Amino acid sequence: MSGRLLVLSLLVLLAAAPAAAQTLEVGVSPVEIATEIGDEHALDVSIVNRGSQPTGPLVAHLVVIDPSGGGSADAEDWTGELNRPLSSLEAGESINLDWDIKPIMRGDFIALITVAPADRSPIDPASSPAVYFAVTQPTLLVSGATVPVSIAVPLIILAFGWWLLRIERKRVAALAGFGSSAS
Amino acid sequence: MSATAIVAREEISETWLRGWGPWLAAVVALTFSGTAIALGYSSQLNLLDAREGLAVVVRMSIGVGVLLVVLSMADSISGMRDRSTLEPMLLTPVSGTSLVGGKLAAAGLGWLVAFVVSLPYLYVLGDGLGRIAVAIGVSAVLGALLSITFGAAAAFLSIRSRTNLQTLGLGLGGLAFLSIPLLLPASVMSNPVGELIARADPLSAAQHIIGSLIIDQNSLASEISWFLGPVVAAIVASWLAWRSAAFIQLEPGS
Repeated sequence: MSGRLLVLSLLVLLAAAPAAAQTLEVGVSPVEIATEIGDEHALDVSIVNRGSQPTGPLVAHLVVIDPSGGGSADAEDWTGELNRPLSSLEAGESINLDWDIKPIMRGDFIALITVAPADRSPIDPASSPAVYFAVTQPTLLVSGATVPVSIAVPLIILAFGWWLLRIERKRVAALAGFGSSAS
Repeated sequence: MSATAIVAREEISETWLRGWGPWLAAVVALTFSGTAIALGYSSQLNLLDAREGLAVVVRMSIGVGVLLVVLSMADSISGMRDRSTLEPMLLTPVSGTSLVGGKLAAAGLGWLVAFVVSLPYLYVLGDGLGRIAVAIGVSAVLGALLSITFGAAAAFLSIRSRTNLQTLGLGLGGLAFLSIPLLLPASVMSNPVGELIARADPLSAAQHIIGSLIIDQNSLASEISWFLGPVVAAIVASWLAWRSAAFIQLEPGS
């Protein structure tokens, strides 16, 4: 009985023990963005070295996930800078990045900034909290006047061309009439 | 009325009142119409956003206008040689610079028509985006600069070429050559050498300005240096055409 109690106590202690502290801590703000296709937003990304040693060179990478799995979310289309090389962070040092991101598709998406060592230094990669994007279709993308204008403009120009042609024909006919009467 | 104005008036009447001008304008309008409707439906499918659609119409307006100017000016002198109408023209008191200047002004109307035809499409595609004025301004300034550049360059070739085919080949070949940087990947053009080429090439510089001001919504102040390439190209091409126009010969090199 006492043996069982000992095992149970150990399990409880293990479960209660804090996980090993991660060297890199990545924060991001804001974490919820409701926007329209094509609108650009700047994510404020902070990266902190919580360890006691320099990190070595790092690289930050933007990941875009489509949780529905219905479409392809290619992060390259969402930002001009998919990867951001970073110099080494000293112990306790932090760096802030502005990451411009422009949704190009309608739907709900999750964006993450993942930071990993650029060399083979033994530091675990770390990711930011998820940024939830709710992207809607701009209502003004197609003006109601597009189709009427697209029909009317060529017709107006054709009518103008036809009118010029008639004037020219009348002018030529008048000249021909003048020439024949003179002869 | 100056000799330049007389030549321009005659050329404009020939093309736009008695010739194919209005029908070509209708074809240009139909092209804009098809593009505007296609862009609208593509946007519904989330493939393009509205500002990119606006930029497409600006690019088309400039591209069609410049092509019309190049085709007109390529035919200006070497076409007269081919039709044997240059000799009587040289016997008139009209100077070479007035002749080429008048033809260039008349050819410029081709770009102006393409620009004016594009305005309703810019308005409907840019409705509510707050970029219509920028799009119209960019289209007007870049269209005028590129029309002068390529029109004057085509006039220079036309004066120096023996046949119209030679002029057209060289002119369209030159346009294609200057378009090569547009086909290169962004990673190639973002290094210092690539950026230098893009700034020097008037077509690449125009492409950059359109993307930056209309799509990325950057300020004019931040992109003003990109206008240097197109302005210098327009000045150099005009100077070349002006110098050559003073010595138009029946047979170049004779």
